[in-house]
Amino acid sequence: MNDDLALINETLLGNSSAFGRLVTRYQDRLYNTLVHVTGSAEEGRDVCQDAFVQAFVKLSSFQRTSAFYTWLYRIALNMAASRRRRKRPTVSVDEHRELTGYEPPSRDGQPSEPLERQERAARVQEALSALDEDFRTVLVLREIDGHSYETIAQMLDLPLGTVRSRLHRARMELKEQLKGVLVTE
Amino acid sequence: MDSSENEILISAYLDDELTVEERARVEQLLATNSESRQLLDEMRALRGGLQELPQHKLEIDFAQHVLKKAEQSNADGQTAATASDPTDSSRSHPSPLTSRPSPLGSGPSFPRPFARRGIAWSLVAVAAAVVIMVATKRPDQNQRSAPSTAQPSFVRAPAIQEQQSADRRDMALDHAENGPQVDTLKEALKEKDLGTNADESAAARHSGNPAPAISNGFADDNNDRFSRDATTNKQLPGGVQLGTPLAADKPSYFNRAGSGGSLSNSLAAPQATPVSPSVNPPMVRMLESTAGDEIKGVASPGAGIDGQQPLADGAGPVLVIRADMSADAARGRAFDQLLVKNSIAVPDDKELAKSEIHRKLADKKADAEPSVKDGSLDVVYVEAAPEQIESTLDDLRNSPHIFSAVAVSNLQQSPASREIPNLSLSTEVPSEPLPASRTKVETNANPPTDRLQDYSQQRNRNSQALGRSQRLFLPNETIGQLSAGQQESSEEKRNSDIAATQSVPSDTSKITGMNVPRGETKDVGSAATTESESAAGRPTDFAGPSNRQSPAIAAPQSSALPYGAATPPADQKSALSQSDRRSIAPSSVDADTVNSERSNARNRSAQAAPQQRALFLLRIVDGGGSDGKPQAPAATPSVRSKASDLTPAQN
Repeated sequence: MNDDLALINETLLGNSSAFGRLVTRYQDRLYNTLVHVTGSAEEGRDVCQDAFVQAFVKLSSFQRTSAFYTWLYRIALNMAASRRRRKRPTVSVDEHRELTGYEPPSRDGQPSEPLERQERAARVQEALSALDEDFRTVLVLREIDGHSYETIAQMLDLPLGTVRSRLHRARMELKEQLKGVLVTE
Repeated sequence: MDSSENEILISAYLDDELTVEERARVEQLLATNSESRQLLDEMRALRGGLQELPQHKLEIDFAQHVLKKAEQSNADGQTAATASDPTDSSRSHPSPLTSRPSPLGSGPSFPRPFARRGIAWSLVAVAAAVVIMVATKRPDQNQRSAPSTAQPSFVRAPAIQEQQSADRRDMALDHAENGPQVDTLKEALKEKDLGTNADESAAARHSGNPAPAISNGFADDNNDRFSRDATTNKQLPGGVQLGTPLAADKPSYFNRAGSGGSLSNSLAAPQATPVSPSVNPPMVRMLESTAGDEIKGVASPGAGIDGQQPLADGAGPVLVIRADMSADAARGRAFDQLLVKNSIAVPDDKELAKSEIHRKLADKKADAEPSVKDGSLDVVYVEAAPEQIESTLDDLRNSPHIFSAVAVSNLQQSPASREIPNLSLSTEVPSEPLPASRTKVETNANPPTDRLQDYSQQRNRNSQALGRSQRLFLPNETIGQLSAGQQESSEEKRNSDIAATQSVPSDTSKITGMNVPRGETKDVGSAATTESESAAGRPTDFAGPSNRQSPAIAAPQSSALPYGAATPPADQKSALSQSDRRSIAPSSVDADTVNSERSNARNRSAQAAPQQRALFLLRIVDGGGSDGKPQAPAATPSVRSKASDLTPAQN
């Protein structure tokens, strides 16, 4: 975090390459989250890029009371929400394949373990995309990104209890959609 | 507890986000309720399924795309901001970065400040020329004596140690060649503030401690050259004899050698700062040349700015403060803001427009509006209280992201270099672009959009401020032409000057560790820059590659050096032996200057300020935006990155 602040200071002094290092540091993490939140690799990339640009432009308004990536995520998730309001994303078959890495399994023989996993991932992605945006976002931030409740609350500007309840509801809905797909131990 | 609440707690239990009490409750529930255990297992399975999802990564050059888009976004924002009314307070949410100066481009209310002003600033040339004449006609100079060993610190030579970094070697070489500049303006002003007591004590030191004579080649060389210079009076067209101060009845800095041998004494003083034989910044020649006939009409000793009451004759030498500034910062009027901040009235365009010289120059350059380009010079002449100039200098130094390579010296003249060549202001001579390596100044100097109105108001208020200033903006083309003219007309003299001023005495080379053979002519500025730039990240000097073709523009004495290293560290100063000082002390600040400033201090209390004069030479080193395109919005970080700057993810 201190390193982030140093890079921010450099950026504010006119060294834009310092901001480039910040981008490099967080781009994949943010992009992966956005792909799952938006349900589209292309849109996730666009939002990710716009978020970084916005962060660059607004960098001096960063209060430094939270981590830079928290602030960055907040920008990105707000932008994703704005886009969603303008246009509901549609997930094409190709995009679905791109998202999940899923290819239709061969019917010539017994499906192999990797193929089963791919198919399962495809189903999970499909179910995730079908979730309400609010539930999906909080679920992705927790399960895929591994953020704490407190961080999620900061990113989404929500009370801690709301984060907890939304997570629960998101899990229950996803569980309902994936009945029979996920095998409990 | 209902089932929904239990489920929420189980979900949070999975995430380890429960309090101790809640955890105990959930564990008790899990121990007694199989449905709860089933739910927990299903949630774990969900987690496994989500974490099996493929990870998505962006291309490695994504950061470059981001920065490129940021630049584009800034440009778009700038266009929008320029089109809108900057004083409209109803504008929604200006960029938070506008709360600080921006290096990127100008503020919306000052989109093209220099383009509008044209070459009207040339009137400042008149003021500058007048300043020069005043400086050479001060009547009290013949009463000065050589300084004693207890010279103020700002005329002491720096100490240099061989083990020090390359940057420090550059600094030492700078002082060895350039002489101890009046970089420590605070010290200089402090000395001035000593007033009568200081003068008296200095006089006592002089009388009680006669300086030991030394006789080395360096002093002899200076002596010879002073004698030569003293005979070289040049009469300007119109009968203005710039060499007047050389008359025997009005001894100046330059004729002491011929007035009873005082020169040798002053040169012999251990801490004395011998008079530089060629302290004549080419800017002076340009100003004189550009002013031309205008000089003869208004140039009278002591004439002040805009025909106002001149400063007292004993106002002291003109401090020449040089700095590099990006074109964006120039457009953003970063320096004007700095002047305003220090209660110095910024130049008024309208009065300049009335100038005859403006009309003449406008005729010659009707279709060649000066533009802010690499190599252009923004010359601002300031008369203000010493404290104001001191504060301005402090601000310059405290804004390294806007102004770089700040250096200070005293302006004196060498009569020999007063030869005014025939110059034309044609813009046909192309300017040599700055190498990319020299464009180091990335600034953030836009006047914030939402503060522009305040700035304008403040500017108006300061029209009655204590300090006052005038400006001459010399576009790159003009400089190129002037330098070409200088090059042709004074080729021989220039070569000798450069050789003299850039030759490092053997003692100096030994001290600095630069291993420069005695008498060898070396482009110290560029060499030192090349050697130290990468390590120190220090901007280059006037005499860098861009001016290599026109060395007359690069001040032969001081500006030819890496003038970002104007102030030696204190330990360097103190560690230098007296003999070392003797050998590396050619200076633009001599004993007369010190005494003059002290005598001025006595008068200062009786005068209404301003009393200190300064000439700010701001070189435009950044070519960004010279095409006239709008710059990025105010106060956003500049976008300049290289692929090599972008390191892989460092999580």
